Amino acid sequence: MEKLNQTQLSELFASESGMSRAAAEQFVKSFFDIIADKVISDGLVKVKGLGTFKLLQMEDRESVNVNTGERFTIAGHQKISFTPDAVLKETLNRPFSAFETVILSDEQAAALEAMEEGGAAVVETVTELPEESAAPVGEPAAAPVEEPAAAPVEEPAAAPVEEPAAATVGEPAAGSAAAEPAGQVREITQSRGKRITLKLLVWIISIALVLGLAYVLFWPVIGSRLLAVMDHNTVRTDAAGIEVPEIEPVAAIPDTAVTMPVTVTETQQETQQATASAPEAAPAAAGEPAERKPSVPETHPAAAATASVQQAFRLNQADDARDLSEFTAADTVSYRMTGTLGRHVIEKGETLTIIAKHTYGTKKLWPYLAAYNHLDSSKSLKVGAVILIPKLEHK
Amino acid sequence: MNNKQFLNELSGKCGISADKCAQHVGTLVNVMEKLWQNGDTVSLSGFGVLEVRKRNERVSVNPTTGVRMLVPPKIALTYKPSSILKEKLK
Repeated sequence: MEKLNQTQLSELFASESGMSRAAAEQFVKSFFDIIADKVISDGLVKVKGLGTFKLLQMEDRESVNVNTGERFTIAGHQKISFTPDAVLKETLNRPFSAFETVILSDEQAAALEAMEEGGAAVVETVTELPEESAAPVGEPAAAPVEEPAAAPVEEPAAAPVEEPAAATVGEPAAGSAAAEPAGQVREITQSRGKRITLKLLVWIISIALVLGLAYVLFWPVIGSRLLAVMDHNTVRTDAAGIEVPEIEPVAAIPDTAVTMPVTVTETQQETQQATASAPEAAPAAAGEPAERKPSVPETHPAAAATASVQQAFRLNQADDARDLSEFTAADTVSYRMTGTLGRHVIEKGETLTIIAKHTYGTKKLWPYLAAYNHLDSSKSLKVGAVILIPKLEHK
Repeated sequence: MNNKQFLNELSGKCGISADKCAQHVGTLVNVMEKLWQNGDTVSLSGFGVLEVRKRNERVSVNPTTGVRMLVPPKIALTYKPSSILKEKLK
């Protein structure tokens, strides 16, 4: 950390080059004189191995007096800039050459800013640390007296590092690592890199923990729901085949047959009510359920056999061919019918999809209408017929 | 002024051949480089101060993409012109 003047430099140069002292001094003097002169006269001097000196023109600019807050103009002036030769730059930076520019995520940037804010306190505690651990000899912060002696002993690369090291020690990021011998700046910064990876690890572990916890907590809910669904399926195929005839065709056949009378009577009762309110529709409506029901047991098992029920319930209306392609099994098996929502008298031009769209808001649910009323989808609806609209509940 | 012109000028001033001058310039730069590697400062009256300085690491932001980057610390060679030279500029 010495400061060498021209004479000292010349002496060193003389011993290196084998020139006489006087000649060396003359050479060094001319060397820098020429640079100084020519940078002013030519505006640019390039010296191989050293770098480029350049004369820059600075424009007028406005500034603020820090004490008074007054605005004033800094007059335009000329400035000599120096750009070191790339090779020289790299050689001098060798102690720090292991570092690379890191792209920060937003969280990391925020964390860094937070650390810098709390930096002052950390700096104080850190600067005290070297005194406690007085062991390291080359410690610049604590033992500046020993430094000149220590510097030559250490490898040359370590020496320029010392000065920066003092600064690095003051940095919050260095943290506890600052207590280490200052020559090992690299270690400090490496430990910093380790801290970052450590942080990442901690993040990953905590996320995994949270996920595991959530799984354990919510398992009873999910599990019971799954069980309920499974129960439901078996129960339904046993007892209430009429509700989901599409699932178990074999079991459904007898069930449908058994429960059929009930539905039929229900329907008949309802139709009778309908007849009372709408006398003109009466003859058609009354005959309709009666003659349609018997046909159901034959067609229904066939329809149920296929997993995609919709394919079986083919309505005669033209637009349904297009609609069918949009149906998925998920749309038609994810509900169960839990009773009658109401009745609907078929009007001219109405289709099951139109009714489904009207009542449920989506035409995809029309198979429930067909299934609930045991309609043969290969036959067309009759105007004035009454169909029951099932109440749908999401499974 | 490029390196060749500089060497010619120097050889004329010192009375040494340009080739020899180039050699000597190389040696001089090497001497200074060793000094800088030790953290020493080269101070020349009438010219200025050449010294190594540590630049702290910093977070820089790409203004177009907004990407934040942590630029590592580095050791840089700096030049500060002497006041005499600065006077000449005026």
